[in-house]
Amino acid sequence: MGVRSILFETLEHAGEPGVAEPGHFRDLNLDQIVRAATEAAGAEAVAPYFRRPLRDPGLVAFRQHIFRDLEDPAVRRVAERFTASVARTRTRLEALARRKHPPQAHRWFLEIVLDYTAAVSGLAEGLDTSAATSPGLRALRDDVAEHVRAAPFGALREGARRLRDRLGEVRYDILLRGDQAGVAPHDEDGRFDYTERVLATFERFRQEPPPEEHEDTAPALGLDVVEAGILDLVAELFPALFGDLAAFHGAHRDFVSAEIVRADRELRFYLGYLAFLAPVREAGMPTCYPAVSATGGELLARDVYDLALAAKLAADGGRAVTNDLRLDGAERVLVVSGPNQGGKTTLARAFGQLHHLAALGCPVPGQEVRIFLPDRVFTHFERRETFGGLASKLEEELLRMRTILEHATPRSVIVLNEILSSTTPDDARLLSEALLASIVRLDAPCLWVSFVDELSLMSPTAVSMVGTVAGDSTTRTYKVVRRPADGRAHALAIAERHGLTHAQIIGRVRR
Amino acid sequence: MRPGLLFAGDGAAPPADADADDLQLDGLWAAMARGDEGLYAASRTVTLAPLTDPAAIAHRQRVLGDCLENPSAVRSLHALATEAVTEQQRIFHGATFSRSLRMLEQSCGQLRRLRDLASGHARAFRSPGFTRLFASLRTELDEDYLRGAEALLDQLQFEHGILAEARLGPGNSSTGFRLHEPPGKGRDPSVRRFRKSGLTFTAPADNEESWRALPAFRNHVLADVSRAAADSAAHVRDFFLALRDELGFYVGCLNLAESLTGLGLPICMPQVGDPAPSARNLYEPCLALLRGGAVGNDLDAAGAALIMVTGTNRGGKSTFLRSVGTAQLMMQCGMFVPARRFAAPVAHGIFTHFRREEDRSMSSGKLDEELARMSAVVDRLSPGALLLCNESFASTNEREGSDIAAEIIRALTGLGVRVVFVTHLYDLARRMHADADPGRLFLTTERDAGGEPTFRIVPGEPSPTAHARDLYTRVFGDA
Repeated sequence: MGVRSILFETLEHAGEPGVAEPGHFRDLNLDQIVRAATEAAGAEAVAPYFRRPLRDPGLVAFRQHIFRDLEDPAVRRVAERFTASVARTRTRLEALARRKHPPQAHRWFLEIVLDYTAAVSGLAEGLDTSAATSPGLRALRDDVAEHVRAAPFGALREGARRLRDRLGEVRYDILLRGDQAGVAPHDEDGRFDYTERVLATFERFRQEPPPEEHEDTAPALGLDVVEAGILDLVAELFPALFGDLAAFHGAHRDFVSAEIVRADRELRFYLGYLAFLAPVREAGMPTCYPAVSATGGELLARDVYDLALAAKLAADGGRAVTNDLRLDGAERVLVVSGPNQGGKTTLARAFGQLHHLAALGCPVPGQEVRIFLPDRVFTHFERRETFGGLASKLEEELLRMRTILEHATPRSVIVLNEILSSTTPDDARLLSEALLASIVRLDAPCLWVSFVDELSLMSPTAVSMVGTVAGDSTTRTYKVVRRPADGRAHALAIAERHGLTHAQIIGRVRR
Repeated sequence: MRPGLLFAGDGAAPPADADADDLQLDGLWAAMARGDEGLYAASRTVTLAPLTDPAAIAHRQRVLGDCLENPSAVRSLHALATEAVTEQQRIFHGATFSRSLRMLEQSCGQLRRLRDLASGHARAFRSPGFTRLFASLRTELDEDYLRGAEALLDQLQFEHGILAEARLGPGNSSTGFRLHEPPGKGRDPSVRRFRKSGLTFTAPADNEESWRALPAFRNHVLADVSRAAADSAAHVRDFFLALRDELGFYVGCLNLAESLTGLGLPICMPQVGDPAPSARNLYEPCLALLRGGAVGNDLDAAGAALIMVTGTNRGGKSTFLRSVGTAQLMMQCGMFVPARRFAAPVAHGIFTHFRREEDRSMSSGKLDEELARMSAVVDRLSPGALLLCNESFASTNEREGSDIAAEIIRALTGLGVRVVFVTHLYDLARRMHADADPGRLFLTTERDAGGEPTFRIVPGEPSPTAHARDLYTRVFGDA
């Protein structure tokens, strides 16, 4: 029996070979999100998992349940300890190949084995005592526990522990005089507390309480000629022990299991995304597990935002503006218009991200999200760069729109941002109208950022959203709402914003 | 061993609240420092952290009392501590270990000098702070102790080798060294067994790596004792630093006291904890030193939660406000107060909200900035605090400014925060006055018979004549 996948619920490898980045990633800033999450995961090999949206609501729920488990800090710590150990094992084995002095190399090998075996059994034990309830993590727990119980693993672990204990008991004395270093068996009756005596003498001048004990710093490199020379003397002092150590290294060279390596990679998909999300959540941005369906174009989402932007803002302690999205009944097209820099493009990205991230089984930026799993996401964003080539910009845009409409199905999601800006307003309106008619016929959900205000009036399935200004001129924030709103601030309203009304102050001052 | 002149126990400095710029404390520190950077820093640190415990304040008042009676002894103790710190800072050559040893050797001499100087003056000092310090100098730095320390420092040269216990660490390196007392000259019994074991490694003489490795290993074995020596040296230096800084604050007080009394101005030890603030001849010390004299004010605030000061421009309102804040702060730092008599309750935090010069435009951005600052103050406020406001909310129109200020004042005074509010906002002052709340005291600028300001602040109701716009209306009639 092997270790089952916690991404695909199966025993076989899935999504292993590199899937190329889809075309809409850049428009939606999903490339930034994936890059950041992959970086947080600490393994480039995780990236292809983010490029494979799911179409099966059951599998999405399977992943969501694992995510929810890992939200629990106790469960997450178990997983993180494991992935950190596997990474450490990898780098340390690479470093070991460069160690030439046998008594050193054998000892390092022993440490690596100890760390690895502790990591693997720690994963099974940690998951078992944790509150994890997802079928995915429970299967992982069972499979890894089985792996640990099997004979090869047990022999490896026990052999390593015995050697470690014997090495830990070794004591010897060193005498440094001139250019000589001598080694002798430890003198049990000697007083080796000279340092404490020095400290005690001057202790009375201490102004601060004593600091924590410091750890011995491990030498990052191998031993130098003197340390190695002394080690050889110590090996002479304890010949049987050092013989057994060498034999252990020879017997267990390839001890890392491929299944454990894959479990590590799959866990990193979850941990990387959550780690990427953490500062965004800390900045106060809401996230949620969407209710997903395989059919229907219905959409309900409160407080959505561009996750890539929010991550950037959170790095400086800022927050992104959130908006509500809704497509009821027959509504299919959200037409977004309003002033420049009013957060329209951001909303378009958020709309697209929401669909993709939901289909990965990930928590999404927003609250109370109900969304369906699209077969594909199509985007068309205005590009600043010119396409120095055969087609004019307008022609290129129309060609691109034709491709989208040819490939899209009623289950696709379309995101259009400020297209057709290179032509006259009249032409743009005419073309937009025609494109809208096609999209409406297709019946696919679409978010369209357009400067053609009246576009939303052209079809009953289109809904208008307008970017509006909230707050006063100094703390301007943009909300994109279904109908425009306006309001002017008055002195007490300003005071209220600073929490300085009578009632607010009474509530704030600690008593 | 702590000097214990600023805090009786292990007291740590509370966080600072008052805005140094608003109270122009820079001038106060400069007067205390007389150009000495160390005194400036010491004065600054202490005055930015006022105390709230009356016992802690009394501790300092008594230490300060000793200082005022023995100024030259205090100055020479401070000079010795300063010199010790300077001498130690001069040792910066050599590896950490040998530097630590040299610093400790030097410290032994400095400690001896300090002990002797202190014992010469001890009888003239009566405060618990000084008495305890002098007693511990006498008992903890006795000659036996200093000789023992010097002998230990001698041994730490490791002239005849290093003997240590070790175990196997990462990569089988030798680690966990525990040092034995250094072996003596020749065939010390502690090293005889090494000849018996016959396990000896001689660093190859023709190998560059071993030239570096041998001292490195030696340092590794000595790491703990080296750290112990460095910690010890730091402890002794920290003791001298603390002594220098604590005495520095009192030397600063001496400097300020001498400057003020030199101008014939009064100073007094305040009565801490009187629920009814009162003062006679209270003045602002920085301005007094600048001008070579001061106009003093009397204050009898009874239990007023709000003191509102209105009146003419350049009539002494801001100076009065700063004098109230500075005196309160100095009192809570254990200092004397620039007044003939001063009594006040302990404020749990002294906060300021002063109009900033650049805030005079009428844009909402400035108002937002003012409100944000006030909001930051409210975050830290608690009942029993003192809040000094100078022309707050003048960056919007009178109506809005008064609305906002009234809201804040009523809330804060209701919560038990004492507020002193200097304002041009006649509308605000009138409204506060109309409330007919007995817990409010109204002061105004005084004029002499010719209508010229005396720069004195006296009880007086808000009057519209003080306000420039009303003045304009009165002169030119309704526009």
